Amino acid sequence: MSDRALFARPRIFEPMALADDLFFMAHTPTGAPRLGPRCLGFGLVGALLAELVLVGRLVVCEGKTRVVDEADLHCQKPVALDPLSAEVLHQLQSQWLHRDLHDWLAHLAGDAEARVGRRLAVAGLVRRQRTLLGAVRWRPVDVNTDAVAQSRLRADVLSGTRLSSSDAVLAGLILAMHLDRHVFWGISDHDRTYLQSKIRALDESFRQLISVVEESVTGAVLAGRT
Amino acid sequence: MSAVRHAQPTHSSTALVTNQLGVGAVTSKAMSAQAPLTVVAGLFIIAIAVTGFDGIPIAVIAVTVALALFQVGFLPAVQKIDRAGTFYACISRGLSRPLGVGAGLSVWLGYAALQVGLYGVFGAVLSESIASWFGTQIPWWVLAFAACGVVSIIGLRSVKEAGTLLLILMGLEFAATLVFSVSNLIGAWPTLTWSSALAPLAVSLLWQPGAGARIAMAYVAVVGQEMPTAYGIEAKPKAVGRAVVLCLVLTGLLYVFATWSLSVLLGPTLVDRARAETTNLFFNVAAERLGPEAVTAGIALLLTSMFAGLVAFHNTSARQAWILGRDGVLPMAMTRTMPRTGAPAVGSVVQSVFGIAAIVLFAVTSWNPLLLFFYGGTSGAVAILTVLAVASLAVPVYYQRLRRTDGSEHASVGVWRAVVAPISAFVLLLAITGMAYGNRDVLLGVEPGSAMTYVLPGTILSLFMIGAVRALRLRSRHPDAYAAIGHGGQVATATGLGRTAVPAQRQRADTQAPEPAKAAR
Repeated sequence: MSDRALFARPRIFEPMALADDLFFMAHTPTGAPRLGPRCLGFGLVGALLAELVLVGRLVVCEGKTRVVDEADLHCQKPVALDPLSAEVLHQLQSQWLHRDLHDWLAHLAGDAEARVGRRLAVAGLVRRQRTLLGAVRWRPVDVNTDAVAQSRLRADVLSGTRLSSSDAVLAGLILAMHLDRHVFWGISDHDRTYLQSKIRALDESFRQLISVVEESVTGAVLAGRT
Repeated sequence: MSAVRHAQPTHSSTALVTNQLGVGAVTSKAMSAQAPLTVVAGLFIIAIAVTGFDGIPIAVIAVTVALALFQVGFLPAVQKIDRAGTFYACISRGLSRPLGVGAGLSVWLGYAALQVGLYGVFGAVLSESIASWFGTQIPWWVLAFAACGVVSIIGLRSVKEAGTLLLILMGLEFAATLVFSVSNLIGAWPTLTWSSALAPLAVSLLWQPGAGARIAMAYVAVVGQEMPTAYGIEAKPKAVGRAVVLCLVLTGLLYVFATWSLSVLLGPTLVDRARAETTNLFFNVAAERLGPEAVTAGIALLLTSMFAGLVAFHNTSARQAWILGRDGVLPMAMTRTMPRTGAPAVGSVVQSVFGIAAIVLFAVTSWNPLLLFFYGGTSGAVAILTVLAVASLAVPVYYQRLRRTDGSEHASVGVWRAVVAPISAFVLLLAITGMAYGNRDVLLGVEPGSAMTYVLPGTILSLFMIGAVRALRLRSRHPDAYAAIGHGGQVATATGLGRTAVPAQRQRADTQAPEPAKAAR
């Protein structure tokens, strides 16, 4: 119980962390993945790294990652990181010789689903279950949870007025993972163009993250190892 | 500007486990599509029978050299353009997008036709073998349908175990080809002299009348050697380059050795025996020394070899369709993948439909299934090789454009890779493709001047035209999608990144990067 209180994430009507939102959109309401494990992993790692970029702790430049030290965040108060983000940041920091974003995606993709799943489980939003065949499923506790994230993003894109940069990143990752069929179904060409213009207007770090996720997903599909 | 302080490296910092494919994995995945035994025992013997000339070994060497020269320039170029290694990205960026889209369609339907053609020969050989082994007559199309069903299931579910099984079979097939060839050489050894050994390798054979058909046949046989580049993103750095070399050397040596040992053993009788025994010749000759079991084993491996080819080309076609869907050339639905397995579902189903349609057509009209192999296999291979020739022109043009915009990039590749190798490859590939078109009646197994000899170039030409029209429509209706062609994905272009980030954007990134993102959560 104390664990849950300590790590509790914001309530579902507020925007959640990027990776959490993406996790729900990439799974069906019963917790079955909509994508192959490798592609799902690439997208979730992209979202986890984007969370670090959002709080100013990570910069991506010309396909290389660069961790920004807490002491150097002079323009804003350091945001307290949740345990998973802190862990990922520590990994990036401790293996700083490796800076290629592509390699990091491939490295972290393997257990990204389980890590984000555990974070959601600690927050009490999903339950870990096993299917009859022994595969692990992260089943949403409340079926509405994933619908909330999805409909918020859809509404924001369709209304065309406000789309925060975190939502634009999320939308970009959804396009990169080819999940748009599930999230932005029936969207008009006009809205799609609007969405793309929003993605194009993102910071360089986000744009690079999104493109490398897209490239990795393409590679996985082409090599038949999704 | 904020300074960046780094933590101390840990022990694990020397290696980042990325679960990427190594040289061996890329080579074996690419080579399982080659079906070496089908090429040696099937295509080459048919080539000898049809053209009536020996001299396949030197033709294979010539074609391998041309392809190696092509890869020298193509590989570094395509890794800059789109690490997925598609010809059409290379052509779009090097020459023009309308041409590139046509090339993309040709490659997709080329692989599709190749795969469909294999159903014909697979059904025919399997039906014949079942009749001789068990005495039961089963029509070829029943077996082809069954194969189509199994291949479709494997294609949709992307069964991992199937991949491993195919790999083992490919190894066996490779070993069997080698053993048979060594036994041929041992048979020929007592009478072997320098002149008889070098006769099939004489360069003058390349200029003889009828040589064009032979070179074109060799060219058709080596389709699949371009496959390692498709693993560019999933492979470790340098793995693709090495896999390309390994693939060319291993298959090149095997093909040359197998055909050379056969022709030194049989000498002038080779052509007559090839005409009489066709696909059984390679095994019959081996059986003279290895016993009759060699024929059974050889035919069994030939069947698994063709089946491996069926699966590999099915997957390749589905993935080509997926890429074209991703880039908006084909309908978006093509990007639909199977949940869990992630196999390109729609592309795979479309390929199965092609297969079923062709089998039904040939079954209903009672045409010879081997015709399906000739028509499908040749048309597919010629379409892919045409694109290869165009791509070899795109490479030097691309480097030229790079030099105009950014001199340093050109310098990093060198004149040999940027100019000399690609241009010589273009000249060679153009000549060979020209021979393929000139001898298309031989390749298709039809009379000169018959309708089919016009259908083949007509189809490829119309594919290029459809591609151009499609590209121009995209340009007027979806300029973003048009701009994305050849840049490795719609989002990648939307974000303006790529391996090809414009210098202006780089500068902006440098000044902007350390600034933390403003969006507070």
